[in-house]
Amino acid sequence: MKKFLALIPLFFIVAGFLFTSSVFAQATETPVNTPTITAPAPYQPDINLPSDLEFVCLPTPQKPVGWLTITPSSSWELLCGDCYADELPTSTAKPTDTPIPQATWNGTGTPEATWTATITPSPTYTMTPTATQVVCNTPSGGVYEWTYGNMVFQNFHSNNSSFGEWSCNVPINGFTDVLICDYHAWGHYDGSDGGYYPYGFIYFGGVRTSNAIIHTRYSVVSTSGVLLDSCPDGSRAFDYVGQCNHNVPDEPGTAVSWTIKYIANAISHNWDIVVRVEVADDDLYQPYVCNTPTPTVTPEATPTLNLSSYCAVVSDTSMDDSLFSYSGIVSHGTPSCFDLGPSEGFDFWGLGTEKLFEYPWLAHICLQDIDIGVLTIFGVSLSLHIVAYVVGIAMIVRNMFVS
Amino acid sequence: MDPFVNITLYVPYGLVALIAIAFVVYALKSIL
Repeated sequence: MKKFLALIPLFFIVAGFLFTSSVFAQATETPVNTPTITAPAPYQPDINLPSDLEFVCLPTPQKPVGWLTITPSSSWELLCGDCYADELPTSTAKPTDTPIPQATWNGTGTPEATWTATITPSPTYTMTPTATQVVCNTPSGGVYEWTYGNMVFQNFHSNNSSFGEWSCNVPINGFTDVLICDYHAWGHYDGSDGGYYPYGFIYFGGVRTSNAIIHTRYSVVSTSGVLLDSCPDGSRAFDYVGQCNHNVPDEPGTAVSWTIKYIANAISHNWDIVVRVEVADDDLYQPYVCNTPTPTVTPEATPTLNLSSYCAVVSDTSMDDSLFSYSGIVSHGTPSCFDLGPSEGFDFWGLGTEKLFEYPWLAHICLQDIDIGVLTIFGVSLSLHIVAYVVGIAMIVRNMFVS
Repeated sequence: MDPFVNITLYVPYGLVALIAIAFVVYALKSIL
């Protein structure tokens, strides 16, 4: 009985293997056999090259692949060197020297060697939109026109000039009411000239009446409402063209607005007039049709070390920094499967009324051979499978010879 | 129709054989 009890721990060990292996079964993968590549023996021209061969160069030998960039092998030089004797490279092409900045030693302590990545990243910057970076579209010239009753208001503008808005009162009685229109425009002085000279003219078209009197008044104010310049009122009859040279601060980017007030006291019954305003300083006004550019953020390049250069040597040795590792359970071979059921039963050749031993498909069970893996401790690999074998054999021997 | 039980048992064949040998040895020793 005591001996039997001694085997109980071994039973639990095996049961544990079965259980844990089932649990980790889904996580294991079938190992892929790595082909073994045996390097050929080094070429020894004195031994391998037959001495009775005669080599004849082609009339125009072609340059081999890698000419002047790859060091010819000793065998190639021995076989083909005479054919390229006149232009055989004595050394490989020298790579272009790239100065590598070094840290400055301050004279104290021990200078430390520094190295710099051979690829210098191109810095990219995030564009921050500013007021001066506002992109303004330039509208094409043309005439905008709208009507009110019999009145036609036209807003002429040339390229780069600003648009304006009309604001007129509504004359009720043509004889007595006064037509007051404000033409308000705004612009963005681009500083290409010493000043700008907006002017406008107004004329009454259609049915002219000799009694029409037009008053105009110019004023130029900044966006903050400061009066920059103004022109006195003028009164004309018919086709009045008022012009006023304005003198504003010569600062590019100055946003200004200006207003021309037209006061028309026309004696006409039908107000058949055309009020026209033209802003005609082509290169001084930038219209306020602006789009703020959307900043684009580009991640900065990460410096990398170029190991694929001509003389670079990439070490194939890798340090296993894992002092403790476990390979996991590894499967071997293909699984052996068997089924339990289904059974249609047996009716004793028709003698029985009911079939016996009838049951559905019970189970599909597969057995897969596994290896319980390799445990690495401080760089020493220990096969747990071999350990289990040794322990098991030791228990058997002990069971045989120890009472 | 799928079976009621569809499992794969991962068994270390060598260790199971070793356990079987241990039990046989134990049985023979008990008899003899």
